Amino acid sequence: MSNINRSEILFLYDATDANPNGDPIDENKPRIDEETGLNLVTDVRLKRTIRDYLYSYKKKDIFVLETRDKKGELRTKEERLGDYKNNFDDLLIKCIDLRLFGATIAVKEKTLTLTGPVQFKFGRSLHRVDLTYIKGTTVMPSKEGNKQGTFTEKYILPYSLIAFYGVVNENAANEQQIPLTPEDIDLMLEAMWNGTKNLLSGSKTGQMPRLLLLVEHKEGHSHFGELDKRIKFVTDKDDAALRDVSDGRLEVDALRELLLANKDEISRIKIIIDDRVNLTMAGKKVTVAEVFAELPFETIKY
Amino acid sequence: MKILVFDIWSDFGHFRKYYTTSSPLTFSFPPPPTVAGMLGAIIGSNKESYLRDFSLDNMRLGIQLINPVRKIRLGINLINTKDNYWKPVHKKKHAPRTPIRTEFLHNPAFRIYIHHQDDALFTKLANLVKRHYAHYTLSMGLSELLADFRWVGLYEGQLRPPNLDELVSVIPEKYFKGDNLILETERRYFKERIPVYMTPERIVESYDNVIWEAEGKPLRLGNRTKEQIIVLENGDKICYF
Repeated sequence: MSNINRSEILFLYDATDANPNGDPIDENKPRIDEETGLNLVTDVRLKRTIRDYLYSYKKKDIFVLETRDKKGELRTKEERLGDYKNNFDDLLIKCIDLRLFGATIAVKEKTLTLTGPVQFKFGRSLHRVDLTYIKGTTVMPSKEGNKQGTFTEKYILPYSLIAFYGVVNENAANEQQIPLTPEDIDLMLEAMWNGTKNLLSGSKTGQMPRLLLLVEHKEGHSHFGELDKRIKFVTDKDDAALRDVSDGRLEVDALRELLLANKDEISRIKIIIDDRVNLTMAGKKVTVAEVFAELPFETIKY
Repeated sequence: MKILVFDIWSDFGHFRKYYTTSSPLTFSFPPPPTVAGMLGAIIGSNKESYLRDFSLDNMRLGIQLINPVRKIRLGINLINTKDNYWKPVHKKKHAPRTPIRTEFLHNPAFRIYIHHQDDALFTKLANLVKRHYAHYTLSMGLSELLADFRWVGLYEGQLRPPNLDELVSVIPEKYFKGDNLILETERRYFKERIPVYMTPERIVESYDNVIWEAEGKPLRLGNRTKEQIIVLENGDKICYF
């Protein structure tokens, strides 16, 4: 039995001159909902960020990982399972990503189907985004005999402030005997914050975490739902002309209203906000302490 | 009879059509076995029991479209398990991943009407919905498409003899004769074949053609409808599965 409670996570980060999540069948363009012009990021992109950080920086065992053998070749799922002596209980105790996100593993007559206690929905930008096409050149010819390099092309977003919403469900953990701990959740939060900053690739450099909020409910209470719909990013500019988080303000009136109205159900709130975010209530700039006044909140630092 | 009415909605939804495997298309609304899974998520029925708990043998279920049906397609990178193996590296003709264009419902919202024979189960469900308590995390077809829900009310409902009626829910075609649907101007009518009855062993025993209007507007039926209509105390009429 794990001792976690129902919790909700709201995570905001932004990408500047980057591609937060390419669409593999659309020329790796950033995902854009054509009807609304909003940028989309899949849940698995965020989970990859979390897994990579926990593996590289926290030295945690991660199951869903690209590992290589001595010849430098990537290893198969069966070989990965062999690392854990094909023991699923052992897998769950060792691999934090299985405890958080579950997995469907099927190899050689062995199957494991676990619904992850932590689920994120797709991330969405809080404003319409502009899509920019960048053409470049390479300096090394691809073939012997070629006198010049070739042209490269990629699509980026000049700016996108993305909101992710997720739920931690204690029942999914308890009833599937997943030994998920509060420490696992804390590590995941750290991985969301620091991992987003630490993605070192051409397409992801320039990403910054801006706000991370965990609302933990008292035992027996369910989640409020849709925390991402309780905040607004408001700007005086045209959405497509946004280039920085300071170009707009984050209105949190509805969020505070919801939390305050249900404060008896909340056991604690953890919050970290980047100092370049303009938080506002009733149109006026406010501090974190003002937003969460009368609520059991603590600020965290990474 | 008491009818529990509540709304569910989300950013995206995906209810995969049974005849689309490698290019997943979505139904326009959750078929009854899927709604059973959602009710199971709220009340905490596990994967083995929800189809028994919320079988059409012991409940009456109506589904109404609230938002217009909009569909979009996104490319999703899946792990390539063709040939029964997964190698995370390109080898001969076997790519490590396979990009799949997947159809999603955009901003889906539905109103669910339900009456259950088991009083205890029904009362428990109604109380949980009213408290906004979900035992498992509710989603719109796939785990990453988190959904929210909202209590609308608990209404008295009467079975209604066949009559000229305007129904707010989707309607299985078998409950009326083809020429009995009164077509109105500026409406778009669609027909979709969905699984209706699924056994606890997850075997689909019946499929039905269901009629709905693209914007979720009511459907008007003539008087040759079979008795499968409930009229609520607020005047709304639904056709149930």
